Amino acid sequence: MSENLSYGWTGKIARIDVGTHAVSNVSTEPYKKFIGGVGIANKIIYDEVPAGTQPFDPESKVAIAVGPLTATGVPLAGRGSASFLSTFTTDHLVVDAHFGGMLPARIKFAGYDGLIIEGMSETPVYIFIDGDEIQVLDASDLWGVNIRDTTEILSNRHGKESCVAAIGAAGENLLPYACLINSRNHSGGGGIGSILGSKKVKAICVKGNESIYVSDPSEVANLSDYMLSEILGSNNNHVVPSTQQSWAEYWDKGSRWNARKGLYWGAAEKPVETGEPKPYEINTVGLRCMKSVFDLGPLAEKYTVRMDGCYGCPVHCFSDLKVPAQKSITGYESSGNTCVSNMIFYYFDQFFKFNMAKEYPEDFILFNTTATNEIDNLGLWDNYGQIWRDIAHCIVDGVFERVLPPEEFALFDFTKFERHDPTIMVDILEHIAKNDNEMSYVAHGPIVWCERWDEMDWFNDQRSQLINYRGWPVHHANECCAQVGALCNMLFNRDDMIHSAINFQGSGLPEDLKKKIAGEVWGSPDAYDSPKNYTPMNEYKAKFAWWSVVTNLLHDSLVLCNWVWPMTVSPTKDRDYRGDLELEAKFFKAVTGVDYTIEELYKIGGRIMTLQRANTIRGMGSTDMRNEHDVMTMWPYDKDPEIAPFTPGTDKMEREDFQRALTLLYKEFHWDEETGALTRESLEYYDLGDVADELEQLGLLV
Amino acid sequence: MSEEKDPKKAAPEVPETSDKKEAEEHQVLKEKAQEERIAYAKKHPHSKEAQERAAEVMQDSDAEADDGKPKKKKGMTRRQFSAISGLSIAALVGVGALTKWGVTQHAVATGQVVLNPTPKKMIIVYPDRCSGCQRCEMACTLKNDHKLNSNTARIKVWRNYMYGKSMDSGDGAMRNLQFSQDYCKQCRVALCMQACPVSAIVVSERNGARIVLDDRCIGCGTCTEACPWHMPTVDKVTKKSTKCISCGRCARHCPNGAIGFIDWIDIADEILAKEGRQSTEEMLELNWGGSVDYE
Repeated sequence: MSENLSYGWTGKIARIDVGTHAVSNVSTEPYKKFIGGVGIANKIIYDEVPAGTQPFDPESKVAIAVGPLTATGVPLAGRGSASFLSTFTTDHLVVDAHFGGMLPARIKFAGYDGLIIEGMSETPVYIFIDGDEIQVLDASDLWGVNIRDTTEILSNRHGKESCVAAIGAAGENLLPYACLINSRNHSGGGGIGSILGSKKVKAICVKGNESIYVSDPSEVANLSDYMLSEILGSNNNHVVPSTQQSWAEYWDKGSRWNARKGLYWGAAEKPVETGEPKPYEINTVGLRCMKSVFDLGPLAEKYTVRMDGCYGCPVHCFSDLKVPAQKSITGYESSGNTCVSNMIFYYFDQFFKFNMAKEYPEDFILFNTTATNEIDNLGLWDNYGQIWRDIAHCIVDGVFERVLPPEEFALFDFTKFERHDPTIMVDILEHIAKNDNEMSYVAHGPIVWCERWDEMDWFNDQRSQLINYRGWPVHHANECCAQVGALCNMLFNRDDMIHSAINFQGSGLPEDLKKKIAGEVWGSPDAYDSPKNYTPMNEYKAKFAWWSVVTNLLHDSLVLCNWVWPMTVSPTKDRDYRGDLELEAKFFKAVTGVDYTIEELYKIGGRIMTLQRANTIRGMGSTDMRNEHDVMTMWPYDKDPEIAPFTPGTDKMEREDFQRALTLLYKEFHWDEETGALTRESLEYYDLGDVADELEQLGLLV
Repeated sequence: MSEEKDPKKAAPEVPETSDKKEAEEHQVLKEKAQEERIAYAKKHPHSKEAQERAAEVMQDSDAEADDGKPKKKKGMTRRQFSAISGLSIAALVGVGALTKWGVTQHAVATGQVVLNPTPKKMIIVYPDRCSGCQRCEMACTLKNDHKLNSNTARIKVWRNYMYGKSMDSGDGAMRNLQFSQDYCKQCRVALCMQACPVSAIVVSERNGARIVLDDRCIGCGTCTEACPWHMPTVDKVTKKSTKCISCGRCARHCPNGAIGFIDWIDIADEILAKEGRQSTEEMLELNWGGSVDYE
């Protein structure tokens, strides 16, 4: 029996044509050099979606993939990845969405390493996966139905052990900012919702209970115990508590390890004290991060039923909140998400300056839970907070008043903000989701609305937080480890979603210890600059930046959650707070039986990055990546004008230094140092010779 | 000394006497009284006093089952007893049938051996602490099936996570945020065991859990139907029923401490009463026409 078993991978990817309803299976074997997740998804898009395709064209596809580690017992292996064409950034090139909840695990348990959704349906459909059987079924009774109700209808129809991922009004109406939501509040963004909407795909409903096999089950279990016992920290792998606790040598008030005595999951039937979880205590790991109060303030304690999250994750950073006052506004008492999508008004308040979180904490919670419930039910994506900054700016700085037709502007009572009336969020979001009005352009992306409304200066305005002219915001850029974060933010076709560096910066360990560890991991303490105390670029920072990218892509292919992995540091004094950076390789071998070193796995991360780079070059039809793609907006250079770069007190960048930084990063990736494009050597280094052949024919090899 | 009929009275102590025959007679009486106490408790499962009286003579030994190794047995286990049921304990001791396990007349009389017909440990859950991560399911199947499968997991969370125990329950992460883990209660009167047509479910020698013997199981699924909570599950690959063996792995690995591993108590009937359903004994009576001769 063991000779026929596939360890880790299931061995098949399903291809589903939603127009013809044809379903077939594709072997995972040729894709394994990209591992899974973002690797497989990028390979499919590279191979099957020609350059020049627009996101809503029939030739556009959505490639969804999980990894060999998904649902195998490896901690934090409950996420998946999708690749498709961007609906909102320049040239609409390939982007990735990462998502968790229950969907990736259920796809794996249904027997698949991935799904390729292609073709176009003329009428609404949903994809129903029940183990071996996949059908494309009529969804005309679901079109126009919100996501929670869609989930309920399909669960009633197919059983409560179904996992439903659905689009809402935003996706149906082809709003570029549309996402795919599963399990109430777990989102895949980047515009995937409207691509599915263009294909009239309302939902994916997954059932199945196939067995997943691993090469060494007891080693998977032992490594899991080891990881939870002495390696893992908390959310973002913060490894110290946020308050002084007797067991801990260090503490840091910004840490997401915010459990403490007297802090409870207050809305549980019998409140659960978070207490003082500590290393070597597996049974309290899940209490370390009480994200609800981290996001929403201390008052959220009494609304918190539990911390929830993705399948297989012991950290759990999604809030399950019960807010009775919500019911009359959105129809639901239950609410909760994480980070940006859990604290939406925080971004508005940077413009309104009500200081609502501190001065009106109950109103803050109600505002946020209202907005969260609305976006998760409409399937409206927030572009990592960009939409909130954009809307707030357009209100506060008179842009809406200037550009909206008077009758449309009159629909909104913006004084509701001053009166802390959260129904204004319902008004605005439901209006935008219709995508039939002027305001909705704010959800087409800044490259659209800034030009349309003569607001191109917004890109260079620090308040926008736009980091690249091609239309995406900061996701831990120059404020994260200096040039390291900024470099990461250049490479993709949307915000980078990389957490390897920010996790290290925010870990909570003392600065001198972080520098010491930086020396061990990236070659010199000079790899790491403390916050707002920067130095010019050097080769060690390039190594750190390269490592941040490849660890992220490795994780997104295995699939592991990069919001917590890698295990660079640990909370364990006995280990001198060192983590275990070989743990991915150890788990990979225990699951698949394949023995890669961690360096080999990092190289696969580099391969995936390079493949996406090739796709970007092909789509742009240009090799001048340095000047046409990797261009940072001006405010990171121009902020804090009274302070010089690389002096304490600022996290600003310097123009020539950043060009040097790009050169050093290109070198780390084996790309052309001048242009940041690809040579034959670049591609063959990653065993992508076929890609080199194609780019050469197109005249796009350097 | 007269025979004690009322099981509420303490069993007579064996008096100190040099007369071996009299001592043996006293021992027989003691064992008979113990037997009757146990039988009385069986007939009156809802009587707390009856259960306590029986427990006095059925004291749990202190073995920990969760390291995977059987501890040195202090007493005869329930499986052993059920294997030779039909004979009174006194008779068994008297004829020397239990000397293999150190159960001699002398050992029983001096309290070195306590006949122990109940399981030792069981899983219990604390739903308020459960985050729905389902690591318990994975830990269970990795250890017991050497693979991953949420269906065969012997503690079950996924099936309740989204909408609770049924679509109209109002529960689940999609509704009122309430969900709980389903777990095996190692019922004192185990309907899965009774219903199994091939007697593939037996009491574990090691820890008293009701376990499936693979070489007997035919994968018919009767156990699943018989169990009030549908806990045993036939693995569609191996075609064998999987069922909780109280190994404790889920409790050890749960990141939230939402699973406890505690001394056995008979809570199945309490839970059924809360759910507004019949006790396991009543179901047994109804479906299989009467009680069965085991504990």
